[in-house]
Amino acid sequence: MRYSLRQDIAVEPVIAGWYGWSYLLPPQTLARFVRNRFTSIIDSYLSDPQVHATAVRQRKMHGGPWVHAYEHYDRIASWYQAAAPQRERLGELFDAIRQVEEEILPRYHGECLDPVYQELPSALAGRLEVFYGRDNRTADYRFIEPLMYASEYYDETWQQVRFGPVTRDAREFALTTPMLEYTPDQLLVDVPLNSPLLDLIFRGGLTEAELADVTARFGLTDQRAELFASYFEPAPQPTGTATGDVLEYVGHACVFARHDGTTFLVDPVLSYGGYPGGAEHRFTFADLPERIDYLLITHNHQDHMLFETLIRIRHRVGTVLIPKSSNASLVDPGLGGILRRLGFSHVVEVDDLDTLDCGSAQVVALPFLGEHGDLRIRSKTGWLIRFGERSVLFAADSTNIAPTMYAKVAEVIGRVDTVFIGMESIGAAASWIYGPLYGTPLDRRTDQSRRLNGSNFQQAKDIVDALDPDEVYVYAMGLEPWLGVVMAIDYDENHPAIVDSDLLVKHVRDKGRTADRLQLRRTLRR
Amino acid sequence: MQLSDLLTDIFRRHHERPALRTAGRAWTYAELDRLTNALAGRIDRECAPGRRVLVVGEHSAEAVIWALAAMRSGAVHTPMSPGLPVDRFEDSVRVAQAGLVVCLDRESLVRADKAGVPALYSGDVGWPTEVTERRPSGSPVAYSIFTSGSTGVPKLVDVGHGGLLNLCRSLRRLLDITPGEQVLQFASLSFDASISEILGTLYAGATLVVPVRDQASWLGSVSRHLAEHGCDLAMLSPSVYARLDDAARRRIRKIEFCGEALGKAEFDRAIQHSRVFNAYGPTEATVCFSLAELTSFTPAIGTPIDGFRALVHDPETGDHSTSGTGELVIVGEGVALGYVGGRAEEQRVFRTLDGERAYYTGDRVTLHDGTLSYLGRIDEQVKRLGHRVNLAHVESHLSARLDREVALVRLGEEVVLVTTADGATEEALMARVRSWLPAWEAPDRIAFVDTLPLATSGKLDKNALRERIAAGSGGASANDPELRQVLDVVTTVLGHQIDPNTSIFDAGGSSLAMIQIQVKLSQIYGEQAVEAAFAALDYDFVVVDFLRHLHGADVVRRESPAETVFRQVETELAALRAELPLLRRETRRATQAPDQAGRTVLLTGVSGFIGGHVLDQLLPTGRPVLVVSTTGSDRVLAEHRARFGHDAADYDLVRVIGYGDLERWVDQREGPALDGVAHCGYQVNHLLPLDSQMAGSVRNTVLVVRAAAAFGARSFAFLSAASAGEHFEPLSAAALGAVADPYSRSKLICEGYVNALADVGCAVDCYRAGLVYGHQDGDRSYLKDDWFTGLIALARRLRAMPRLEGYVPVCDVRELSRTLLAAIDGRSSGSAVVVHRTYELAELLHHAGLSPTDVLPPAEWFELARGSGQAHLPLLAAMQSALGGRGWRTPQREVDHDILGTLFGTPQEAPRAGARA
Repeated sequence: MRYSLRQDIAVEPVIAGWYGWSYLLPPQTLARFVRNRFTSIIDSYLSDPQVHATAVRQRKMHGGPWVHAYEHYDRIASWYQAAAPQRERLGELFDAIRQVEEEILPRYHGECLDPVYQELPSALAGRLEVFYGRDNRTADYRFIEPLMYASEYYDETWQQVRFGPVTRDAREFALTTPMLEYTPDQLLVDVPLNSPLLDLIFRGGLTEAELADVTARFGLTDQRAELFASYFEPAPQPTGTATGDVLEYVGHACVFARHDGTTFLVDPVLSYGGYPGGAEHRFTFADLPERIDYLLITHNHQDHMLFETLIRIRHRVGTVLIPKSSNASLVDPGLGGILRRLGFSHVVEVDDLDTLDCGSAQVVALPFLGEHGDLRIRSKTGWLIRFGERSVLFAADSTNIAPTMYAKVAEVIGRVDTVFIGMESIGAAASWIYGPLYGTPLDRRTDQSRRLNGSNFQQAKDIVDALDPDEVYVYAMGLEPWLGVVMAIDYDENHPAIVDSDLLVKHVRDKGRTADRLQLRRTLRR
Repeated sequence: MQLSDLLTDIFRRHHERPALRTAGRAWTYAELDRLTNALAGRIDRECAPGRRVLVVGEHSAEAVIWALAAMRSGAVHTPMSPGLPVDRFEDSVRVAQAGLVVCLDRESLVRADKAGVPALYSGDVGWPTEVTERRPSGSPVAYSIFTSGSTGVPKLVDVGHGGLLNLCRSLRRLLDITPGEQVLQFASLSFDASISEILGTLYAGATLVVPVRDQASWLGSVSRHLAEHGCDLAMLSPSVYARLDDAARRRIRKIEFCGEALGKAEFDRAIQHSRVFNAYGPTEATVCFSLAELTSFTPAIGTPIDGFRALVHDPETGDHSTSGTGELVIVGEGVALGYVGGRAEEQRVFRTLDGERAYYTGDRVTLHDGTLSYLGRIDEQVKRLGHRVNLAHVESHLSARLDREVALVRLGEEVVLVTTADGATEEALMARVRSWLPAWEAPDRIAFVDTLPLATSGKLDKNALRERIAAGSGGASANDPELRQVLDVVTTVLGHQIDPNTSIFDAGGSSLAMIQIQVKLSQIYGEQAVEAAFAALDYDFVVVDFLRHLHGADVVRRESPAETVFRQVETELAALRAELPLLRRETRRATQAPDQAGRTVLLTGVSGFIGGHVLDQLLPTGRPVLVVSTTGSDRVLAEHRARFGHDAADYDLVRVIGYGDLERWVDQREGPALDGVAHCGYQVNHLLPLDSQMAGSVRNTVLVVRAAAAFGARSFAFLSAASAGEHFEPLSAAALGAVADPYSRSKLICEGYVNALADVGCAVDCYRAGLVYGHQDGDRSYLKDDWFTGLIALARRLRAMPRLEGYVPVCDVRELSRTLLAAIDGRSSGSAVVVHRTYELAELLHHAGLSPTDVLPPAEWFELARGSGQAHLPLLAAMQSALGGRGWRTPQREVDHDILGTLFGTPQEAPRAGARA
């Protein structure tokens, strides 16, 4: 008898007690989030849980700084107390960063920066490079990221996963609630997110001995071991592997493609199966092929780079293609470093208009503007994949703020047949993601002016007109209920994103071409 | 050198360079020379030499010009703030023993009358051009500046001529001012920082720029101006700088801080964007005593500028020395002559040391190697717990640590830290402050205010702050117990009070604070009711709106800009309606020769394209014409003659006056009898903001309307614009909102005013003309700024035409002039849209010598045009603004000749498709 993980058991990544995503992995950004976001969430919760209960009840407040598991006061309080040493260690790093940004660097206005290295606080000494910014007067710095990961502030013992059943498509917003065992069927296990044990579990087909070994290595005994065993079921018979060419939209910004035997998956976000009442025909983990030759990530936002999906499919992935990020700043930590620490061994970084041969197809990285609050962030790219004669562009949330760029890109890359474009035309304010990383908070007006917007109608129309494709698909709108775990958008028919995307679809159709706003799943080509 | 000679010298030296600029107007040094000389002559006529002339006005180019005129006059320039309370105004006039008050606004004129002092209203004087021979004044006083005396009675500082040239030279050298640089004029003229702005700029041959006051506050207007235009140099107090928007601060190339001690927080902010200078100087030492460029923060205020020396005075021993710490004593020619008014003992700050004038500043400084560091006011030193504490020093330290403005205010024995709230509670803030300061430096308590008030000088107004804190509650108007209750909840959560009309998010609150408020309010009003109210507020909590919702009322929407304008217009219109019958009844109209009685036509815009043609057609009728023009000079007629080739005799019955003359006639209720009015004078500028249109052409239109009522006109023809809309509807906010550009909006507003004449029995016709052409050779210069012909010419050069929506509506100027004259001949056809012919894209292509393949989408075309370097950018902007609408919808062909074809000299028959509808 062999065993596999049940299709309805989610394995959620946990870092320092919080739902794991990109900015919680590098120690420097984790330190900022713990101090600037999580501490105030828990402090306000502990001083008045009723405030959080009231907020969670109201749809408009979704995505805000609220503890959703507000009824578990004692559990959260004791976890928070127990985690004090961890906060204290990260606090050293936080204070060191603050000292560099607010006290040391501002003293320099163009003179030699050598003395800075002598006065760096110990938490950062030997781990930073300092230099002047574009104006030659404002001092700036970057982390030597591998040394940050090698420091005492990156501790894999702070990583965990939480097992538990999923019972419906809609997921609760997870970024603001400590990840504890709140129900009897949840199990929190201490294990680094890059552990091969997790691959063993996700690959399935474990023998009884292997399962017992995993259970023991997770330190699970008695009732907890029994609970863990209940997450498994007899391994299903392997089904015949499909081999035909396909282009399939599988939810949000995630698209699967197979061409001449090579498989591609873009911005993976997948849903679970094995529970009643889910959307019919949705694409779940079970629908993936054994092997994903190329995994492509467009940018480092949690709905495009979802740890929960990434670790679950890791054992199937050959190469990960990502945009090159050279800033190593607080707001733009290296995507390659994150993925490698997440257990991906073959990661390839590409820059604007780099072209790679990927099995039967060719991949081109395209410049991606906007949607990052005007912060200096390079980790973002559009992907053009040439499947033989046909080319497909994944523009993700790239905003056409510079109307001439796509026209110029078109001159270089030639014809594009199919365009996928994100149109979350009114996104969250930039501080929703990046706020804890700012040295000084932006005033409200400025913050609101720098939203994480995708293209609006006019911008998307200009992209479409510049590239003149046969097919246009609006995607990445967070319309699938399982995106609720990391997104909080309250759509109705008057939402600007819906109005704008309707207009675009009409515009393209008026030109006699194909267009649609995608939702859940769509097989676009066989 | 006397101030007036210094100015004369400056004006002659820089001659054709631009000296002064404000939106839409600029003056060269030569122009300013003539103008201020003429105005100085006017002051001399009304004011005895050596007496003080009070100039009451600020924040406008006009006020600056009058200030310069006062400086050049034989009287003593004494600027005064227009914002004074009535009593204070009279006290000031009395203390100054003013010989004349120059008022830049009518309200001050009324006050001056009340104070019984001779006064001039600048609007009445206008811009005279006559050059008068002027004599030197000989007064030892260059200018006088009001300063607050300790008794609350105004006091004047008399500043002599001795320090002026040194001031000018030092500013130019140390601030590195070069010809052509743009220097911001920010300071109120009543504050002597304006003297260094004005003289420093002009001496160096740079350009003084006065922003347009287009926001509710002057500071807001300046901030917007800077964000848009930037400047090379600004002289501001740190408190003012802190209040500018970040976008404004970024565009200041050089910032000179003055007026207050510079704190580290402001320095850190400024050095990111600008070269930073710190100036120090009391009014008593001719504005500026020392000046230093700072590259890192120090309390240094530099070394004395030429003509000054510094000594430190130890009050205990009475010694003076050239190094050490003590009260700064300024010695030199630039020390003021003394105070006028105030108490006798105050004069003791002026003394003589070694035969030179000296001023005891009351400022504590350290003097070391000739360099000064500012420590604070002597009277800001307090003794606490046995220690000498310098409040200014602590204040600067705290404001840097907290990264925001703070003030330490003494209330009796108590020291209060006043700051704006940022969401932290008093206790939390106090804990931080205590952790930084020794016990004797820590404040006794903390008070939060919405804003830290500024005095006219741009300095923090500590007196106002003291009053506000002493009053306790921050001035909430919460007599209503329910309002009080909700405000209390908000105060508990935020840790400070907020205005009941302010969103808590704007007051530094977060969504957490909002839900905390919701929970607390739910305990009072019930969970459901509160949640419903919050939902209706769309989760943006404003106390007053919450209460309205709680009681089931709708929240009042915020006004749109169109609504705001409409509300103003409605108020003015009501006043105009009340005034017109009075004007008609009470004005005495001159009797005329019997054969000309009742035949006079008032005509505006004669120097414009259309108005010129109207006059051309009017001359042969033999009717007397009263031409009202912006210049009021007969040159208008000379130019007209050259343009149309008439004889001088043809103009025998034509008289030219200025708008200022007309206003005086109307106000004095005496003038010529009129038959009809043709109002064509209007500034055509699609880019000018509505506020400028309102202050310019719209104001002139109202004046012409009043004149029409006063002088008995029976008909009034107003040249409006087709872009104001195709349908004539009553003026409303919605109608205004439907019109896109400010020029067309202003025309619509003018129609509203013009229509008010119907109440006094005057026949009113508004003609909304399309683009008017039919230029003859003498008219060619009018095409220079014409966006449409500019567009066609550019299209021809670029070999590309933008895709125009709809049709282009065109009029022929002679036809249009006939229509206007018919209306004042009593052959009115009623208000109408006047379009003689429309052109479609195909015809325009023909005229530009292009083919349909040369058509581009507008956005691309504009990009091409901008990139080509061939387009005049303001004209391009006007084109873009004009093409913003939907275009003309219906084709028309009332005249047969090809108006554009004639203009462009293209062959008659353009390819046409369905133009004849």
